[in-house]
Amino acid sequence: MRAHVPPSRFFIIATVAVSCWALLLRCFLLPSQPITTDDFSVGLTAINYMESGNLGPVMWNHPDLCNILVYGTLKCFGSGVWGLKIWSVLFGTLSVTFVALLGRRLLVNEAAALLAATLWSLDSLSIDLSRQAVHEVYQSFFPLAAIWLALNFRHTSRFRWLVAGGLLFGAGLACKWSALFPCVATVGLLLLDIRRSDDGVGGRLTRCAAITASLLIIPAVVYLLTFAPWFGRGYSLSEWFDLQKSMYRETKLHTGYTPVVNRDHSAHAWFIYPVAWQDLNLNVAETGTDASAMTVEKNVTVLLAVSNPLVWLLVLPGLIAVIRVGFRDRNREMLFLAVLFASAYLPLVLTFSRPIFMNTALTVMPYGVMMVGYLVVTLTSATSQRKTALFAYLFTVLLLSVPLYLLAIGKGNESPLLQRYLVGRFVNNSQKVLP
Amino acid sequence: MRKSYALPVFFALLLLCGAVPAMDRYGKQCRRYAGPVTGINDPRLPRLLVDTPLDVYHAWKKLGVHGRTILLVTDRWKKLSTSELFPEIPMYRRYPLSLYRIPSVMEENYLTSDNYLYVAALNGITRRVVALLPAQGYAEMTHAAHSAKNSRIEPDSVYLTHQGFPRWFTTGGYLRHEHEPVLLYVEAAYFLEEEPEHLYRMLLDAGIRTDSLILCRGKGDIRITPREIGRLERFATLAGFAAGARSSLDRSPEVSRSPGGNQ
Repeated sequence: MRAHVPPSRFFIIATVAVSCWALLLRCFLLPSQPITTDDFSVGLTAINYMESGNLGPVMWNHPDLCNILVYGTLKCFGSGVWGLKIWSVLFGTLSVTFVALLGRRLLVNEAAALLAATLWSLDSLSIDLSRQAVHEVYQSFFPLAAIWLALNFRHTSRFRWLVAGGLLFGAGLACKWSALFPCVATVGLLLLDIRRSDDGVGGRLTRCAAITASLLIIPAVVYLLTFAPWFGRGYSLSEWFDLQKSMYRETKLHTGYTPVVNRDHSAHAWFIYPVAWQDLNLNVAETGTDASAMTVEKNVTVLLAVSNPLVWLLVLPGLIAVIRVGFRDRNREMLFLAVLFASAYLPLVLTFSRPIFMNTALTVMPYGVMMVGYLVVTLTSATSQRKTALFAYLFTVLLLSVPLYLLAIGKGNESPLLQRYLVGRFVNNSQKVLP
Repeated sequence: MRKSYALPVFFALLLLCGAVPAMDRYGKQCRRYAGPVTGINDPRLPRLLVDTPLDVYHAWKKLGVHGRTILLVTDRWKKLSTSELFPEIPMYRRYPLSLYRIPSVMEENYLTSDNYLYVAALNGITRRVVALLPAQGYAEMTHAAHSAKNSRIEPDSVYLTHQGFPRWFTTGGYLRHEHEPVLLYVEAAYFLEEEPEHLYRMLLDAGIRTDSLILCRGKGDIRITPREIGRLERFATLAGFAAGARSSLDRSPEVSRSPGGNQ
């Protein structure tokens, strides 16, 4: 384990700046962004869950922390944009902050961590889903924050970090089960540390018990407690286990609510060629609009997240670099990053029972951008024009991010060039959604 | 054990030991009963003979029951289409959104003789349905279970869920496993294929306990003839309905939180 070095002043300032930049990108024109059916359904689902204990109508098979949080903000801020989306914006932004913080911990390289955070702040998928009410982006934030807290325990041995990490892993699990994979990987890392420690058998056992209790039992209890409104319908614990089975079956076999054809739905493709996540929605400007008067241009909004090839296609080379250096230098943090990536990604690649849509990459890509950050910083530092090369890369990514940003926030139709791309790729689907 | 490590272990175990039984207890305490739980031949049992399923829904509402198992005795399970499950999302959407409580809107605007059980589930009356079907109705559910995402086919029952909501289907064998007091509801349609004496004997043998027995004539169902109504009335007599009595439910219900009721 490496000695803990406090972050430089530059790193702190830059992390705050990147986080503010991420917040700006996630809030820009948000109140005027067309409201999707999913946005509306998230509000209904939150009320349905908190006031009646019912699951659904949207994503009944996922746990319900999102409903609890959204219901709270609906009560505080009303059913406006912030009542509905503040958590997505907040967690989407904080995921950028924690990419920097965790990246610094794992890569021991502030430049790489900052580059990773910048890449994540610009990522089309993260931006798109941070601007929607659905809870997808929560899955980027909770595991990152929980791992960072658990690693603080690793360096300080103060149990409060461990308990806080356990609570956040629990919150992550209570959004989606995918938080389980990084949680188990983190427990594994901390238990491996015990093997190497100089403590006696008693000391090792107590440390082992503390880790297991904090990172497995506490998350399980948090997860259970979020079902309180559902228990209020009269259900018992044995029926809760039956519900978990139902949720698992649906999650395992879920095919989405729109046809799978023409949609990117294979996790193995994510880092091989550019992929996209699309939300097509019908909106009318006033009530009572005649269905026959609707057109694709006027009434269909496409929120389209396209992977930036300059980032996503470097993930696998980044993984190789991290593993190589990890083994060469016996760098456990680097190897842990590779394990985090693999534990989040491989279960998706190896899922054959259902399509895996690109939105799920939100659980994988935070580790991906850390590896890309490391790769780019390492490669550019080998050149004589280190800073120039790094900024050239960043500038090119930024340039490509402009059209991707417009597509992600639903402004693709307003640029003739992007509209041609949208119509060319999605017009058939769009016409199908018209009544 | 070092104090600093003992604390999280103690904290986690305390949480676990407190939360798990507390949630189980909380769930069970949320169930509300209409009154004393008895066998179907007990004279104290509230009984009601109604015309339509909508009357049944309103009777359950009036009884104030919550979180209960409904034992539905009918001939077929009515499947709802997806569009019937909740009001359509409007295409005109502007902030602040006009959000609503789905259970209330469904009850006020969309309650029908087809979806009354679904609306009862939404409104918390029931958390679980056991459907007692004749052989043909049961065979249809067994067939449906083969293509369902989450189902279990057992020797005497079929288990199917809808968005996690548990439903059991049986021709009678499963009833002996039903130890929880139920809201017993018998539709005349069941007697299209079965005899009342057989049903009565089956319920008695299974030891079914209940705090409300409601029979429905199925008015408006063109399949129901005087023969089925006659059979329903025979069942009513067996179950202790006084001749011509509407019911003992006409009085204000007294709600109880325990199956012991307000005896």
